[in-house]
Amino acid sequence: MTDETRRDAGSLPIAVRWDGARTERLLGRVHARIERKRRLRRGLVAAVPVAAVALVVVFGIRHRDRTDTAGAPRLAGQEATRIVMLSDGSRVELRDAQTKIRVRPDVSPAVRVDLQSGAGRFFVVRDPGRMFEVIAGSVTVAVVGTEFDVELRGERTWVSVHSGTVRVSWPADSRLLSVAESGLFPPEPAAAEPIAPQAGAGVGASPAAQAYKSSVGRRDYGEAYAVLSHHPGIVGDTVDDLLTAADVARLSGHGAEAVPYLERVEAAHPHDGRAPLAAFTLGRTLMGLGRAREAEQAFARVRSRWPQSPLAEDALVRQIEAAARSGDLDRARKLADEYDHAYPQGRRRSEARRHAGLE
Amino acid sequence: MPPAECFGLAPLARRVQDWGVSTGTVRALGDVRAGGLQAALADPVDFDAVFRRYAPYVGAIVLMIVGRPDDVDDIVQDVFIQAHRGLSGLRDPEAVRPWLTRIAVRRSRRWLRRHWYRRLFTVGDAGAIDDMVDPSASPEQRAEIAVVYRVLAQMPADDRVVWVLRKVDGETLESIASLVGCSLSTVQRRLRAAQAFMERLR
Repeated sequence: MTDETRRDAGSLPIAVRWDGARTERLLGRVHARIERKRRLRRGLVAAVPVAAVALVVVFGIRHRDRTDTAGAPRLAGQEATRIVMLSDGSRVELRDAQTKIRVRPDVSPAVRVDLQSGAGRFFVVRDPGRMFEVIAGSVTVAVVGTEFDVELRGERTWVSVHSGTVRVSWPADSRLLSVAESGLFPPEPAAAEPIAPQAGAGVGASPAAQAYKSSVGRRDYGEAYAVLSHHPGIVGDTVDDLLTAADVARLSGHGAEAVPYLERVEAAHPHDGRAPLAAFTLGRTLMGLGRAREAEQAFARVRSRWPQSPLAEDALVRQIEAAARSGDLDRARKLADEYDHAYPQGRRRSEARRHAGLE
Repeated sequence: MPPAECFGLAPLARRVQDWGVSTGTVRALGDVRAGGLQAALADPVDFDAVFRRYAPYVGAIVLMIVGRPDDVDDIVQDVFIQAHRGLSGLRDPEAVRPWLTRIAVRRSRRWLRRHWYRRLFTVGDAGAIDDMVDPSASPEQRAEIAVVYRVLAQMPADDRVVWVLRKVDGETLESIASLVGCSLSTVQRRLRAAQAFMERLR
């Protein structure tokens, strides 16, 4: 906490007037509202079976009609001959009557679809917990959440991505296709690179960079990391670029990959206002990775290099925690004393002492 | 009728000290480790005990953020109705205070967003200011609070909440991030925006 903050914190004598009567009055109102909610919930619970029966009747009638006309109970609505709804909520638009697909059973929680003939567009519901694959001839297209076309063209398969990123694999190799990219797989030796998008590509930005930026914009860090891991060169040297890359790595569950980006911010941009944040985040990331001793050093640097940073107090508490976790309780206790001295009214005093084993 | 007690920043801290707890901050009210709380949590259905202990503290947090004494009761009720659903899941007495604080902060922010138009009427509302100032405050302090909350009334809710928690309540950035439910960098960005706003209008 800075001196200025301490001044601010003590300068506004705000008070809420409170007495026992107010407490009891409010408590009575809270109980009344809780009881009203309870009665409403009971009413809803009673209504649910009735609604469920009605739904089953309506659904049963519709289902019977659809089966009678199209002969395919999983096809939906007016476009019953073209759209297939999958159990995970994803859907496939079949291009024509010649297109045939088969959903492989017994691979849950994964979803595997065989494209046996023709072409289809796949709209895949995002779910990091399950794998979604389309197998077309010798080519496998694996996705997290996206929209793409797959078409069998003789011995090869055409894949075109409309949103998100997919991994296209064939016996010899695999390739990541991002938004607006397309290609024929397995590729001819001379046509190994994906075809660049024709429109809206922007000037100077690669498709991968665009896909990365787009994923980050949507906060789809899993997808952004998939692009980043194959195109590490798309990260620039600015603080924004490096912090974003660190966020993408951390928030997609790849903490160790965030470390170099954060270290680069600290080393290359020490005078930037976000450098202490990078060092602090580095410490937290290292703690999450179980590298407590390195984490302690990172937190210590926040305090030594940027002593006026508003993060200094938090860094000291975290440093105490890191020292304790690395088994150096003596140091943790010394640091806890340091906290008492530096922040006598500090909000995190109790936490600091608890980490140091003093409470 | 006995005079109403004041629960706020400095006054509340004094009261906590009067009760024999060695702390100088408002938040320490939630750290009071009296047998009553342990007993209350040992019996999770004793919601009333938790309410009686923490309602004034929650009221102080809410008032500090929304700056409208007349609306504090409604928000405090919302906080405890939400808390009622999860209280039985708490096993650690020390977790009650930060948990209630988090609910209070988020409920207050939601109130600010939904009632943005009402914030405008805070401007120049001398009665509202009188009702939220410690009676022992000097005229200068009273005027300062009026100015600060007049500017806060114009500020976006997210920036306002972060600024109040940091500058009025003295929370650390990491704690604010946890209370508000956002990243550290977002807290810093909102704080900078709020500070710039404050300096521009003040």
